[in-house]
Formats: sequence, structure tokens, C-alpha cells
Amino acid sequence: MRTRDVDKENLVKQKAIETIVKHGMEGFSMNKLARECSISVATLYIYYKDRDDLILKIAEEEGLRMAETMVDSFDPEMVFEDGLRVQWKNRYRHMMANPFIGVFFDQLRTSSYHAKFMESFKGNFEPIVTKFMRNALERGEINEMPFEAYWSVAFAPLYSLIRFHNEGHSIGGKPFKMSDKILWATFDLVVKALKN
Amino acid sequence: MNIYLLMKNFNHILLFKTNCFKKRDKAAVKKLMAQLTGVEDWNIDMDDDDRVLRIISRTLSHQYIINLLNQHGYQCGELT
Repeated sequence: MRTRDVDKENLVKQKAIETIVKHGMEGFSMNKLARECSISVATLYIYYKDRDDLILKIAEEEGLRMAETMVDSFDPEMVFEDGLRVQWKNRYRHMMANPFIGVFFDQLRTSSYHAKFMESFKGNFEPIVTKFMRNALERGEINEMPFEAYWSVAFAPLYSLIRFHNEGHSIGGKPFKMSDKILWATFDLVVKALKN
Repeated sequence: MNIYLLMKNFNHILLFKTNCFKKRDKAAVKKLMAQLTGVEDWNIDMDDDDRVLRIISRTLSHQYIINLLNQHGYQCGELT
């Protein structure tokens, strides 16, 4: 009798993300994944209907997990700098603990799974973050600006540092390793740029 | 959450390797599935080399499906 095995399921999810990150979405197949996990293809098809179903379910689950982590200990009523600091800490912690996740999300963003993925990701998370931004605006802590401009200044520097760290080097191949010192020094610059 | 994943065993998920490579093959299988009673859900993974046919059924057997597809000219074997 076939039974459900949570460890095996977690291994499948982890390996799927790793394989997609290393070899791209195109080359990814259930057969390859089964080999990577040393399980039978049949076991994969017990959990998932097909390749699309597998990618989407993992994407949705990971999106939800990321969204939950992002708002951990976060309150939209927080003072701007404190709130942004919590968000940096959460994102940083999650992405360092899951080194493939950032690249996986980037790959999803440029794939046909994008819309469905964003649906699950945004639901919990977006209203809280939007409220936080509005509060900061009402209190005069930041100026009105397009959301994209806000996001780019607020978070892109963090993602850039994490990417350098994951790749082991920065611009021009210079070796790079992330440290708390660099993280919070960059954060201070971001706050300086956004805060009135 | 998929309701089937909450259940203890997966004997109702029937899996087969097939040679349904073309869209018209899938259409032919679709016709066959529509004629069967006891199929709760089915799909073929056209992205996979094995063109895995996945049927959810509590009443049909592997052998029955294999015979049915063979009769219609398709290779079909239990995926193990």
C-alpha cells in the first residue's frame, strides 16, 4: 500500500526548487526530479498531477511561506524605520536560510506561472504592507511616490546584497560575503533615502 | 489542499506509462475516459517522457485500463 510520507514530500519540494534553479524551468521534468530524489516517478505522480501541478503547488506554498515570514513580528502601525527594519530582518533571514528561493521566485516571475503564483503570494501580504506605507505617508515620515519607486529603494538593495552573497562575488567578480555590518549599513542608507 | 492527500493510502490513484505522444492521442484517451464509469478524474502529463496517464478511480483496475488502451492501439503499462 502506498502511504504518505512527509519527509519524502519535503525532499521532493527542496530538490524541485534546487533543480529548477540549477538547470532552469525548461529542462525540468518529473523523471529528472525522481532521479534526483532517488524515488520512483510513480511516487511523484501520487503527490502531483503533472509537472505544471507540481511547479504551481510548490510555488504557491513557498510564496505563502515567504509572505508569512515577511510579516512576522511586523505591525503596520510601526514607526517607519522600525517597520522597515523588521521587514529587512525577516526577508534577510528567510532568504539566507533558503538560498535557492530568491532565484526560484525570479524564475517564476518570468514564467507562465507568474499570475497564479502572485495571487497566492499577494493575498496575505499586500494589504499589510500597503497599510504600513500609507501610515508612514500620513505621519509625514515619507513622501508620496510611486509604489515601484518605493519598493526599488526599500528592498532592491537588500536583494542585491543577498544575490552577491549567494553568487559568492559582487561586481567584477570581487569576492563577497554578507555580514550584519554591511546589511545594516546599507539599511541605514535606505532609510536616509526614504525618510523625511 | 487536495482531498486525496488527506487520505491514508493512494490505491485509488492509477498510474500508467503510455505512448500518447500527440494531441490526437490525448483526445482519443479523453473519449475513452468519458465512456468509463468510475473515473473521478484523469490527466496525461504531456510534458513528461513517459506521457504518464493518471486516473483517480476506486473501482477500476490497472489491468482493465491497460487492456482498454491496448485494444485501441496504445502501449500502456503500470508505472511503478
